[in-house]
Amino acid sequence: MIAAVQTALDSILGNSPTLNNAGGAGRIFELYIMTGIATEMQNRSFEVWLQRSDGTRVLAGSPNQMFIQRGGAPTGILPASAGPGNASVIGMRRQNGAVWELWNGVQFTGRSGAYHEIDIGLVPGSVGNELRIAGGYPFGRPRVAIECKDAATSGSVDEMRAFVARLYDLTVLTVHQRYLPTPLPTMAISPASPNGPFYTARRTYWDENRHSFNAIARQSGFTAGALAMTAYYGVEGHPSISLNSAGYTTLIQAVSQWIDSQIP
Amino acid sequence: MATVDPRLTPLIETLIASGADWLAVEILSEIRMGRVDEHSEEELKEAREAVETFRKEKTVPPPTLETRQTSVRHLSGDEQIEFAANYAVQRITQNIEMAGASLQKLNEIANRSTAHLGVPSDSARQKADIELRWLDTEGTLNRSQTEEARSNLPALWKSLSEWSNSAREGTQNG
Repeated sequence: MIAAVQTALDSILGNSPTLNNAGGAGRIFELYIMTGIATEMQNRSFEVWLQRSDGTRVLAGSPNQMFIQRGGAPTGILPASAGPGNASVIGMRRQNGAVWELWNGVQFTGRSGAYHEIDIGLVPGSVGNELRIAGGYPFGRPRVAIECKDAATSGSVDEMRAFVARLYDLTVLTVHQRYLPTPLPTMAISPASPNGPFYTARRTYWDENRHSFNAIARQSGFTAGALAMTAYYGVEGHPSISLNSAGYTTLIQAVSQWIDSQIP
Repeated sequence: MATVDPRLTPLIETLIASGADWLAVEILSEIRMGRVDEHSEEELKEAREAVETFRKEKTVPPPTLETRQTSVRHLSGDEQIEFAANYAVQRITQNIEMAGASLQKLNEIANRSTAHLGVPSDSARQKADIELRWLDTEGTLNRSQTEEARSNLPALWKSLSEWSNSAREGTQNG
């Protein structure tokens, strides 16, 4: 009887590289959310494109139609000169608007100097362009940060604590300027942040939490008691993310609405 | 923590032998953890609305919500077997379906962005056919592979259901 299970598993896993990898299912979960946001922004009349690691676009009919997701140890942004074989991103902009990049699994540098991986992050395109010159890590906090949890285990208070701590270390406020290696004006993210009020650092954590979209997206739910922290620190809890579920639609609409109404 | 029922051993060994050791670990971890009391959808919706209000109203302080204690219920042996069979098939199904849907969305993005650019060449009139690749994984994933994997799902559902029934009835054999 168990032999029939083995046969079925072998035939399925043979066609699914991600199912043979410990982190594979989690990556597909992240990709499903990332592509959901991107197609919704297209529906909202944003220009959206797939972009290789060398900065070129993936077009229909082009010889290289590979979309590459990160894997293994997370890294920063690799230089464009390393070629198109590293992680892809999704670019977007509203008509006559600034370019933004949706990143997956990139490590950001916090004020402490520690690296923090953000599963899905939205950053100004100029930051991506600058980092692709020589490679490196963004410093600061993306405008959208989504922590993805593709686990059946309920989200615990510890999970919330870890995400809040990550965002805390990534937050750059005007009061931090005297300790920072970056020049004035103080920007929420660097290098090469565009200028303007949307991009400048805020005065307080409350201001920064208000000025960004932060969420934890889970396949399952949240342990009773876990929400107190998310609400206080401006982190939206999105449970029950599965294929075409109501939870998925709610998440995609919430992120997309924030992007559509806020970013330049 | 709960004690894992030894009748799960054949399934755990089979998952490991098939290369889905991560799934075996998840199942064991879930069983040992037990079922915890979760926030209701209504509570989560209220919390999200509170965050939204906090973002919009510049003068209000962040919302504070009442903290609850978590309760845990451990699964019986029969429940563990039923849970493991359902979990394995649902996890694999969900992964394949999400991969297929993601590929479809990537193709949609590439097709629409190509049309947006108004590229006049013949090649640009072709439909996108995106393949997925991972930096630490051998091989790629395309639409035909996800369709092939999907076609084998009914056999997995059937075999796991039969194993679950026989294990709980004490009639399983190699």
